[in-house]
Amino acid sequence: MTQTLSPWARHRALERDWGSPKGWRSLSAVNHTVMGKRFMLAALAFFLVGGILALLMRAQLASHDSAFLDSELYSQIFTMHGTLMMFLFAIPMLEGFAFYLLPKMLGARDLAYPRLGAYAWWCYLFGGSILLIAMLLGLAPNSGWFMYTPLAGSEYRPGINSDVWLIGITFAEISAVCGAVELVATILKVRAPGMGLNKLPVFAWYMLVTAGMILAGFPPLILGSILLELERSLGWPFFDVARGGDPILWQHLFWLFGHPEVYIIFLPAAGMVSTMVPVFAQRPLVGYVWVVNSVIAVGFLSFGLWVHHMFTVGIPQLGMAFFSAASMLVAVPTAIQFFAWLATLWSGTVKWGVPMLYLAGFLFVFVIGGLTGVMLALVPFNVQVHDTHFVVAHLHYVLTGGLIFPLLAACHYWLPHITGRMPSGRMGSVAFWFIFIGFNLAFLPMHLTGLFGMPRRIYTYVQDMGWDALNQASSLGAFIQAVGFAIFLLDVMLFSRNGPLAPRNPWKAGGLEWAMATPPPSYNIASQPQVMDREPLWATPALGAQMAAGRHWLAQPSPGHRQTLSVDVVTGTPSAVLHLPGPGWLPLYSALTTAGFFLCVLFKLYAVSLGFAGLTLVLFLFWTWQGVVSARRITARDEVRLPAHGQVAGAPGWWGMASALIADGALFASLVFGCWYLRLFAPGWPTSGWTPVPWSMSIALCAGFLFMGMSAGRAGLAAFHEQTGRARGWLAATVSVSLLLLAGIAVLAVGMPDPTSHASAAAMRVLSVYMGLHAGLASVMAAYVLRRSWDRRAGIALDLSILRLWLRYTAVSGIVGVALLMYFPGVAL
Amino acid sequence: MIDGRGDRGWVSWWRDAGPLLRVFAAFGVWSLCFVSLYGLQAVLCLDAFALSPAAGKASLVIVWLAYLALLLLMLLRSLGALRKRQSRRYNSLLLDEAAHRFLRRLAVIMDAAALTVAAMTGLPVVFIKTCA
Repeated sequence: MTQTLSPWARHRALERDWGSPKGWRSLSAVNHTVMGKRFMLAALAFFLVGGILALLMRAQLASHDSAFLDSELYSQIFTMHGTLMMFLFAIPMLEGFAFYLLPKMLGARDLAYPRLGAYAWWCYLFGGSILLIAMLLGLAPNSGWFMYTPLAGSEYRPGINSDVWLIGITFAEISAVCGAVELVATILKVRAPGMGLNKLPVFAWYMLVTAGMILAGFPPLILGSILLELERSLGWPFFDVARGGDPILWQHLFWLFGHPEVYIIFLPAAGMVSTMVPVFAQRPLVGYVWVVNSVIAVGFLSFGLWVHHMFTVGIPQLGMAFFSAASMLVAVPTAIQFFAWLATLWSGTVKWGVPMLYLAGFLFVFVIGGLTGVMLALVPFNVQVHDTHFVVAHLHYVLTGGLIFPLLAACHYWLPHITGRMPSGRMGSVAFWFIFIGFNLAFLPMHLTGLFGMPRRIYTYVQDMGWDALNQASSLGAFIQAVGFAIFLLDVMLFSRNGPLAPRNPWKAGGLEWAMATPPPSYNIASQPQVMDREPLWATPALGAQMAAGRHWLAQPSPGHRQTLSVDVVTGTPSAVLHLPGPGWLPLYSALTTAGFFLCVLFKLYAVSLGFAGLTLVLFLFWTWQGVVSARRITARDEVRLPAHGQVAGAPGWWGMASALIADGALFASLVFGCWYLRLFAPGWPTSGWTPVPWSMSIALCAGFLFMGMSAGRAGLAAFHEQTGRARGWLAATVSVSLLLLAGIAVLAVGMPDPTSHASAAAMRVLSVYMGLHAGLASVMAAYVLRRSWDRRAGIALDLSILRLWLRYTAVSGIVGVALLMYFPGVAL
Repeated sequence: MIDGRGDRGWVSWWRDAGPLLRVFAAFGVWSLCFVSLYGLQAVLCLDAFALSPAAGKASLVIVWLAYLALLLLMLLRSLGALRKRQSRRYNSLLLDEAAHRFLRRLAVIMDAAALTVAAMTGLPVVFIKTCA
């Protein structure tokens, strides 16, 4: 059956189904190749703006008493430089690479949720644009990229500058979380047959851990941003000491995100290194299992380091010792990866090329950043150099070494894949030396400037401090580096259009992404390979030709359908055929209404913002409704027929919801942590004005949540036994109970003290809003599944399993919330 | 013919993802250990508890040792699972078994690493005074 089409006919048939629209309709594209490129291009644009801002700063600091920039402008510039580089360049660029590469490396045709990827890109673009437009209007945030309170509070920053940061960054972070959900589901479920976890490309392991870290690490900052915006806009005093708040809570929430963020940036880049080093050494990566182990260990350990940014705020000695120990320990798994790379190079035959040059630069620069990191893990040294240029030098060695050099190597390495043309080796080498020398000239002296006592974030300094020569060297280095980047970009732009055509697999790599034509067709591969080895192309050099000839899975195009395989998580055994959506406008519309929501919040139009939130919800419901797939079984290969993905347990949709709930749970845990932190350490607690929640109300709410947790399971059981009426009955009951819960929580919230009076009242109001929101969404979701049960085109098993996850999470978080509301604020410890 | 139908509910979910989650479990326990120690050393220093430094230290050491014992148990179990499975050599020829064996090896390394990390991060409890 699979041999009935010629390769060319198969290509045309697949291209018809998978191709993205052209012209202005390309805005509706959802294909992962397109979205990956868009992420990369937008991130590059933000990088260029951030780089120009860096040059402005260095121009200002090149000499003492400089009047090139004034204090306010300098504050805006260093805030925007950090914000652009950390939030709008680093993570989106890496997500762009992951979006583009992962399906190709995994032997799949697209990501698990193409529309979510498109929505993520639009959110990122709109969120970033809010910040850029504000900067052009002179309203850029000016409190540093960490937005410390009380400096960022309304008392010291009464304009909308801080609001722009809080709204814009939260919006962009939604994009990152959506991307993470997409990546987790894709890596676990959308792979080529036979690609068990033991054969997973090492980059996929890195991205799996990174995505998990984004899910757990971003919500604390999202929560912090919401709380700070509530304080600034509505006067709810979470960080105001006079009314029971504590500014240190912001630092905890920020660095709970901020330190994992460093590793969220480093790990994907290290994954690229682990992918490229074996290619240039022409041998498999040494210690694959140890590298995977160390990546997971780094992922966890990075969440135990955040307080080392706060050693000077008054943490007890024992607490600091825990974080100091963890900060030093994280060097061990990082070193394991280093030794694996060195051992791979040592035991292989190294081919030098421009990517390898950048990889060597990475190894040199990142080691220095890592060693100064261990120095900063030591409390006495940390206290000495806190907030000096030593820290600036350290973080740039870590981030430039850990991100920029691998990224530049990756650009050269995968450029032939993206454009089908080879970059120039000569221009690439010249660019490398400019960047390498310029970088070290800029940041090596900065260690000394810091040790000589120069604080960071000062816009000028006087002559007799002895910092002039070092600052001049740093500024010169920054401009040399900028010349290097300009040459690099010129190389990429010129040669991606006019360079020599790239041969198939120009670097002789072993990964599946090189088994396809370059630039890749919209469907990636004509048939999905049976993977037998960790480096499939090294084991079977003719694999690409076999795939193009349709000798593997899903070789028979199914007109009007975008199909790829879904596999068992551990073994990679095919379990279902995934039907993916084609181009559509819903992601753009949903992102526009989300943007409308955030802009209305920014301009304090709260009633209108609620309208936009409702509109977004309606669009999401339309979105999911379109995901109906046929229940028929599909021929995946010769005699093998597989069900559609909605018919099997553990479909990618289920994994998406599970991943989203990890992020939701991290947000809730951060909220509970925040409440407890204030309860224990903020002055003015417990509050005298608190009225405990009545017992009867608490019991009723808990009973409602318990029913909710149990009802979806009962509905699922009834549906499984084809007792349709009973299943619908349970769903209808779930809708009713959810609405009753929502009403009960609303009554409770109305009876609470004024949230502007004390942080306890504000915290309890936020808790009740969280519970109410979840109960409300539960009713909408249950009503949706109930309505869908009348749709005969597809079963509701997948919908029920997703609903069950949501309801059980809502039940658990709701009961914890009720317990907190009952016992928390008024009880004296 | 491959049968793509699966069971519903937690059983099929655990069959699908359980071995992978087992790999992460040890560092999950380390995270709890870390949060418990950090949280407790802060809470025990509050005036309301009024614990003597010796009692505070004793409490923290007990918590730390309990986590170490749990991690040691996990390591012993994962080692046992590895040895038991590896003795069944015929299984290693199967494609599926190779993936499971990889995860079992990974679990042993992760358990050992988490135990070491928990021992190191908790060590300050022994040497540094609580509430200083």
